[in-house]
Amino acid sequence: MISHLHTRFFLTLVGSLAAFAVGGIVFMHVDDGGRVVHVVHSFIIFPALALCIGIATYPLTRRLLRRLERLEQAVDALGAGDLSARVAVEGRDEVARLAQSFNRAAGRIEELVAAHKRLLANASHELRTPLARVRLAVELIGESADPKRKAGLDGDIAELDQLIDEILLASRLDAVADPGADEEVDLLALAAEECARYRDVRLDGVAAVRRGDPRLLRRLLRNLLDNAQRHGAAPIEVRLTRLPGSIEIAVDDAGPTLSAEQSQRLFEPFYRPAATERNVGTGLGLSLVRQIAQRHGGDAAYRSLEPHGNSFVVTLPLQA
Amino acid sequence: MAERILLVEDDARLAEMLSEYLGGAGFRVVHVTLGAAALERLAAEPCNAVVLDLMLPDMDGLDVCRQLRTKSDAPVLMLTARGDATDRIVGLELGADDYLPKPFAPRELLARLRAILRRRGNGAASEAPLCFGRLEIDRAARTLRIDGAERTITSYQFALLVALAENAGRVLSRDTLMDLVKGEALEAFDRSIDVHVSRVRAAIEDDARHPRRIITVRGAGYVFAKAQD
Repeated sequence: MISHLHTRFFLTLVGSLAAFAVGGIVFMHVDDGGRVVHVVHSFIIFPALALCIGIATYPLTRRLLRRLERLEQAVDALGAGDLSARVAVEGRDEVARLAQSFNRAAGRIEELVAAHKRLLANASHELRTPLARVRLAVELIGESADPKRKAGLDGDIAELDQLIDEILLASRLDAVADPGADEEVDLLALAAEECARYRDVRLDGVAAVRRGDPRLLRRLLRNLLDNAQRHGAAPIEVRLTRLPGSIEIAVDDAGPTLSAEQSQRLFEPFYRPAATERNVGTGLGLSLVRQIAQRHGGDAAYRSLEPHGNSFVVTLPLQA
Repeated sequence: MAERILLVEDDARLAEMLSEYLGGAGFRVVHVTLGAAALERLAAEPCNAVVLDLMLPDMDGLDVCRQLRTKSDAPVLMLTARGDATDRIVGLELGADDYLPKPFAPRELLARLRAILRRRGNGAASEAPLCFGRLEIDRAARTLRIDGAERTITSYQFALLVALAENAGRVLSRDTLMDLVKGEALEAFDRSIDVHVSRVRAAIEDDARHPRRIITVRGAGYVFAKAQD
């Protein structure tokens, strides 16, 4: 089947050739010796004819290009996270069919993302409600319970809550192009707050305020500190250093330096060094650190310290 | 007479435990599992406060909150497992008075419930108390509570605490703090900001030697923690 678009181009081409042929016939003649001779004027007439054809076909081309531009804009908008981006379907040609296909695909993506969001919300609800019951039950046990055991249970609940949070967050960051909150965050204050959760973490740094998602940036710092506590050794130090146009957040510990193989895979999801004794957590902590840093226009890296020790460094641009 | 709390929660076991816990704290709890039932119940008999789960089987908790607001001015405390800032903001915009993510500390629920009841009792126009976990700073009444129990500090120290809490999550230098509390009646003795901060810490920290609410940032000042308990 010859398509509409193809027909248009085909007809335009045939028209052009016919015009050239007519031009050629009109502007040639037979000389006295019986040979066909082109008249010099044809050099002027042919470009003029080509120009006429160009002008005649311009509306068709312009309309086509505009529709393609609109389609391109919609694709770009979808790629940038506007899942409601659709394009108006005009005509019945290939471009119209492409627009229909795009709209169908965008609709499907929007549905899938909405379903994913619903799933995450439901999973969060289903997992956290029993956790709330356990926490309430611990409280209802009352004063008779052993305070140490009660504190241990509270710690376990907090750990489980954090695991749920990390798994759901990893899933959300992977699948949902949700820009998240955008607020002014005092990074030094945030670091001080997170360091205060531990008794032996030293903080040293400069004031740095930038826009970002405070919840995600808190998770970034908490994961770096949890990682140093679990796998590193004291003293643990957090440093905030201002670089030209960016801020560097480093969490240093004095634990044994990681091997080259380990350091390469550190930020992969679910990676856990095999020989680690205190193998707790989801294995998502550092991969989340990198995802959060990248979402804020920065990145995360590992540096070994001399003679031993580890430094986990996040660099964030100060102007997002 | 005991204050009536309408508990809207679809998880029967959690609701049972919450009823027991809040009942033990002197409240009379009426429990419903559906949003529609909550709206009916509220129309039939008034209550002093509503504890509303955001995710209900029959309707969205946010819709319940919106409709509830048209029928009653009882304060609403939302419980949610979503932990999403957007839901919190939408909930508060729709008229909820406070928000608590699951799994919440029961004592924090109690403290917040009492805070919204007190605020409503004092008249809605009064300045909202600042709540950070189990800590409640009532700026209108100039009182300070942890787990609902009042703690005493001087007027100057209260102003210092309010200045810090109103700027939670930001490092404040000693000079900035002095500026913020300027105009407060001076203490009898010329104590430094650090001494006042340590007094405030003694009143609000669980362990004043390892503060979690007012944190010192070396060479920069103090920060009042945004996330507490």
